[in-house]
Amino acid sequence: MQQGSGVVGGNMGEPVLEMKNISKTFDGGKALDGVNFSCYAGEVHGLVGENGAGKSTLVKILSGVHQPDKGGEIHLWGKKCVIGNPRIAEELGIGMVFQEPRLIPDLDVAENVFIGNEPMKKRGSIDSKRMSELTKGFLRSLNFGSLDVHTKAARLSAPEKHAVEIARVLALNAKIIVLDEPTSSLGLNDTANLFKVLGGLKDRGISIIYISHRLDELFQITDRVTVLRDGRLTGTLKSTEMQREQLINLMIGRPLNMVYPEKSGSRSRGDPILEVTGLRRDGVLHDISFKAYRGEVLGLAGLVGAGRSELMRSVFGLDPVDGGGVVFDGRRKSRKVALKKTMASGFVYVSEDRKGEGILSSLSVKENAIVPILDRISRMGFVNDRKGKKEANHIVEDLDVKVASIQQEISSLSGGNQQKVIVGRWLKLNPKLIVLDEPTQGIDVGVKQELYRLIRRLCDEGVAVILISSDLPEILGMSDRVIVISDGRIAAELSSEEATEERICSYFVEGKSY
Amino acid sequence: MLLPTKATLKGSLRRNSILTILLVFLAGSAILFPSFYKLNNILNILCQSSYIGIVSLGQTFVVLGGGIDLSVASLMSCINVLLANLTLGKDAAVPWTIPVLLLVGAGIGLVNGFIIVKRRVPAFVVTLGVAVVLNGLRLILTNGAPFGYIPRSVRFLGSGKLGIIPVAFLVFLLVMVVSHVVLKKAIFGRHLYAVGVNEKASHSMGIRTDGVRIASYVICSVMAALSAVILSGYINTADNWSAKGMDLDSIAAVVLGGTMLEGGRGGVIYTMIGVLLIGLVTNVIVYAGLAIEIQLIAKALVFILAVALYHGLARTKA
Repeated sequence: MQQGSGVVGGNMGEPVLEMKNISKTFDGGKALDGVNFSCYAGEVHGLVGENGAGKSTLVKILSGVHQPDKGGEIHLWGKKCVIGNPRIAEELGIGMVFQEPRLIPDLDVAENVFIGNEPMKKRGSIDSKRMSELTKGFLRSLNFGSLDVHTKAARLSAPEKHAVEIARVLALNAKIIVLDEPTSSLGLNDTANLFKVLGGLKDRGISIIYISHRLDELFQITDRVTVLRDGRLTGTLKSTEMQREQLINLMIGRPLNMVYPEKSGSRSRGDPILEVTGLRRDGVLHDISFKAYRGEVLGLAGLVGAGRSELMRSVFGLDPVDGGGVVFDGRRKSRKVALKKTMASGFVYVSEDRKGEGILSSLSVKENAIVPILDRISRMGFVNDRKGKKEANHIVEDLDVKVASIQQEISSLSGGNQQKVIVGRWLKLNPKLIVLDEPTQGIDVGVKQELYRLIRRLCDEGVAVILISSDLPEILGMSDRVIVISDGRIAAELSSEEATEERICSYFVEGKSY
Repeated sequence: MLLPTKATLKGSLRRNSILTILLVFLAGSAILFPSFYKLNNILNILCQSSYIGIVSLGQTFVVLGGGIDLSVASLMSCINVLLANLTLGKDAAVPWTIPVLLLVGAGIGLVNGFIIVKRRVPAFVVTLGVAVVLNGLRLILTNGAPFGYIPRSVRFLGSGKLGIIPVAFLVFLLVMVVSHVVLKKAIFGRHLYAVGVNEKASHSMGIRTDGVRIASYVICSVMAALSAVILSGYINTADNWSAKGMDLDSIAAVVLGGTMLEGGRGGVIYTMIGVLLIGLVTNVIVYAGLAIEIQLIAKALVFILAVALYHGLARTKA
């Protein structure tokens, strides 16, 4: 793709898509705040921002999954539209191509392309001949003419799957196509091929919204780039005029609105509590070695999917390991050891998936608080309810959980208060090492700061904390040491002084395979 | 706890709606059949409810853990013919026969649980399959015609009385209290609820989720075996299909009471209400003197109606 072709879509007439003053509020807070976004015919418009900046929320509003808050408007070809559900979005000509292709493995290429949209014969049966012909046509226009339309989707390679996904939205007659990180599963050649495809679509007047973390690609393929940060629009730039530094600044240079507690520096750092050597999980983690020390906060930075959570889940024992060793508290940790024993030895892990792996949603705060310590408050297998209430009340008071009664269903609490209960129940085990995976995701500012103070307090008491976070300011504000993970490898280890947003960010991007 | 929080309010509404149905039913039958409230009939209902109740309590354990057991009826019929077969009607054989039968139950529960949990096969497929196998084995064993008799002491368990109270009902009460304590007070009970609500979260908290789920099937099958002993004493005969329909009756009792089939919600009290409702419906239909074919249809319709009504109520009020 040459940048020159960007002029085609540049400022030709009216935009085909205009999203005006789009806000979106979820329980956890504002995901989008007054964002404007537009797209011209035949334009490739890049959409960038850190994890949680609001890119996917914006795209989900466009595709009818979410509704914008009052005051937000969407105009297509100059006409105001309400996109009430994904079906309407498809009918309006908006096509979504997801990061992970969502093909049905047992159906063949043509069937996947026309799923839900099958060409019919007069008598009401599917016209498979026409379906194959049309599919061939689409694939040819995507440079995948050699792909047999009767291959089962399960047997396709990653780029082929992408081609089929794009053919699917073309079959729906999409005029605006959203590509969510399409190159994350592609190698260099396939990426070049994809860009050729996008060039072809552009020439046909189709607009493309292109979400990517790979900055270099934006310079190659886009006409304009819109940057989001913390749900706000920070800028829309012409690709021919923008600079790399400028882009990074718009992405991460936010005002420091969060006050982090003072770091204890090297004062509190003690002996190593965790030593990981040569840890391997095939296809996910490659030869990872590091140490975590008592009394320090070790930040694990990296993009979602880089392997941060996967690493700690494998170390902890929730995910499998294919090689390497883990020494915890001076003792070699066997791969087969029961989670319960690991926890009892003082190693705990707070999952990033609060709903799926943290809370027991229809049970009470009390039940949620005491599950890991049941055997400690029981005799002969029977739970002492009075002790249970005492322990639960202690957590509520100690961490100032906002709750009417410990008998309240935990799902009725705010995300932040749920998180406090979860962290509190692990503290009951007197951990020596606590791994917090995205502990502040979807949590309001007030509770965030309480959690930060708690982390610092634990640290001062000699507990080791490993903090996994996509929020760079949080990593910088809290960590005594930062390890950057990229593509399942350690890309860099930085001291608190060395770590800056730009520097960490550069390892995110540079560390990727090019 | 004085504050009526959202959660408990929702719970009590749920319970109240089914209680309302129960009360309406009681009042209705009293008007239609004045003799319904004679002491004898009430005791009869309690006695009949006992064997359904015990197996329904077993089913409650499985459902709380997020599963379902469709093999209880076949197992119960097996236990019924085995009981007659092994004792040949002799009381002397009862002390060792009953433990053996309970062990048979435990074994079947272990098979169910093991395949479901360790091989990750859907519960309804496994238990339905096991049910068919058990039916086949039973027919081979009995050659189509069960022999032997039900011993006197077992008959006492199933239809005898202490004073005016049916013995079966006392056994049922005992099982009920033990189940309640295990579910509410024991570590196992707390773990079972946790696994039913969110197996992944439970696992990450160090609960041995596989063991808990397998145990729920074992408990269910043991209770089904116990229930079959009471049933044998009640019907006083060995019959190849003596427990026919008990799968659906036990699940109906659990669901009618308000225990959610998705797992993790409900408990003994809920199931008790369901069991009482089933006992009443059965009794009233018999009272109305309907033909057996009509009885089946009427019973099924009442269940569907009650569940539909009550789920509708739960949704609008909650």
